[in-house]
Amino acid sequence: MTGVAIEAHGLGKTYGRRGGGHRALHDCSFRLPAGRVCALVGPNGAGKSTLLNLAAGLDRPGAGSLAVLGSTEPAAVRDRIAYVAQDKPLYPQLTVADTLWAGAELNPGRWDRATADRIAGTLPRTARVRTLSGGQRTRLALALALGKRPELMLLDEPMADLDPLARHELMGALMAETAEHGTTIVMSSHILTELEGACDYLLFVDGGRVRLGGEAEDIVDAHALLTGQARDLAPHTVVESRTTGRQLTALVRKEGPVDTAAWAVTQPSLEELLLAHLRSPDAPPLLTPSASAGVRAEGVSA
Amino acid sequence: MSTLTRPKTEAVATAPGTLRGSARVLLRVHRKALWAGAALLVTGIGIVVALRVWVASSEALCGGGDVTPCGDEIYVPNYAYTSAEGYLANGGTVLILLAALIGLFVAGPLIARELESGTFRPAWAQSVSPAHWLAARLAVPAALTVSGLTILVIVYRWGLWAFRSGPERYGTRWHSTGVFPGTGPSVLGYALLAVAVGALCAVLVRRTLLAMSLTALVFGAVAACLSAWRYELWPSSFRKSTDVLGHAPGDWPIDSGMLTASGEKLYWQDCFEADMTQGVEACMRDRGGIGYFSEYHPASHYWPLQLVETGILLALAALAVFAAFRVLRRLHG
Repeated sequence: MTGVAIEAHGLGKTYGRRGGGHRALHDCSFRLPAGRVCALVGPNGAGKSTLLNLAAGLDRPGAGSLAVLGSTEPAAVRDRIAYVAQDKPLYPQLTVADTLWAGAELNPGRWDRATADRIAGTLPRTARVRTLSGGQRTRLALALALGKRPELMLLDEPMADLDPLARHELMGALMAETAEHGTTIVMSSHILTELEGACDYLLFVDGGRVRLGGEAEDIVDAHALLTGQARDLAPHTVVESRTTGRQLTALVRKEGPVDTAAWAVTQPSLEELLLAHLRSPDAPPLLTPSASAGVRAEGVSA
Repeated sequence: MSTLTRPKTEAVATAPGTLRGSARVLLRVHRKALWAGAALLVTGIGIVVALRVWVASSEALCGGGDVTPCGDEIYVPNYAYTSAEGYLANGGTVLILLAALIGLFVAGPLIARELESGTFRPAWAQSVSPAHWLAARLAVPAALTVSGLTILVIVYRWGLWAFRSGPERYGTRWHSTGVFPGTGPSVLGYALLAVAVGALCAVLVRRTLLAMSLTALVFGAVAACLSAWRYELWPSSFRKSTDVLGHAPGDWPIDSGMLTASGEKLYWQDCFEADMTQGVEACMRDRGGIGYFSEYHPASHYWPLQLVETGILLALAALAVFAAFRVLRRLHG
């Protein structure tokens, strides 16, 4: 066991024709240690789904390399990865029971019927998939994903079509099932609050690359919200600053001790942090040591 | 962090398992289509049986039954006999259309619709590789179609057997376009080609309707070409004589004309087009024709023709299957 769930080096993926295509990912490098629950956040079109698709071995990267669960070929370890696509595609003509049966058929030797049944919970077993509501579909898709006892779960906007109660309930079930196995989970969303609290790791993707990566706490700790009289902010890296008269409010990345005499220092929330980065596309990326891909990546992205 | 109760990797032996699993899931998902296919098979058998029963039970118009002339040279079949023969004269065409239908099903509902609607994702995100996924979608319809069509070919041959002792009739001659492909292995070749072309079109365009139309176009073109140039698939026999040549029953006449002293072939066709004012015979004589010849396939060419046609179809099918896997691998690994 390498202790690394996903490691990307200079990952690139372009959709459409060469030249005029849409660059979904570009020179994207990061590392996700095993056993984390990671929030993959970013605005729409940031490359979240593309990244999950590549990690699930459904598509091939156009450039760079991607190692998943220690294999440089994600497709080769597909039996250890679970992936739930954004629209939760399932065979509409099958019943719930048939779908769970299909999960067992497609995962010979791995299928955990009890877990799948537990997650499927109260779903009517004889109902056809096409008659299920959004929340029920999500539940069934999660049952299918958890039933194969994955080491890595990739969930693309898993909670998007759920009401808050169902979201809370399913998230709880997901965490309970995966905690004892130390399953690595990557959940994408463009709404951070959906994931905050459940996740201890963060990958913030924007413009096809990872701009923030690491333990959620460490990332928050690395930043400070400074308020005080307008003056030079050196040596800190300014992410975003706003001046009102002589008053300056700045979100900075701390490069040494902050002069608490000159500034009123508060800790930004994760959401404030992400919004500031979204508004300042030029802010340099921050990857904590655990999220930095190996030496080769630094050479590539320099 | 790594005190994980990771599942043991029993993945070593999953390869054949997932293929079998894929096939079983595929059959469950398309259960209705399976029933429809079985219904078509039963209908096909039923039609042939009904026709034979009809012919056997209908009253003969003259003494010796309807397969002998009524005391003279004139052959008078009854209504049942003529109708049954008329229907069976198109049996080969019907079987090719069935093969095409299976190709359309593979192209549309089986593959392209999954690619279009995204249901391939849960399959591939389970432990099924894209290659296995495609393999199941080729192997299951191929196996079912070959078994079903084999039965229909046997039944069809048995149906045609009813007319074996009658005088040669145009519709059900062995080489007739509507009969030939349905009486031997070539219809199996057509079916496998349809499945393969369907799969290739589906992974190429990934749109249900487009893939189905493209499959119909490609398969139709191949079938039309083979039907038009079937007589070229095996060298035809050649016969010459100083008298006008007739054809033996069972022969498939290809072309005929006259031979010059030097052995050059003059085809009737050329004189039909050249000069309408004189007789064709005279025209040929003017051009130096002194004897007659004809090119034809004797009945013994049936099997060589069938096997060559089947071989061509299987080769094309293999090519399409190879290409389909290549396309899928290039896109998804």
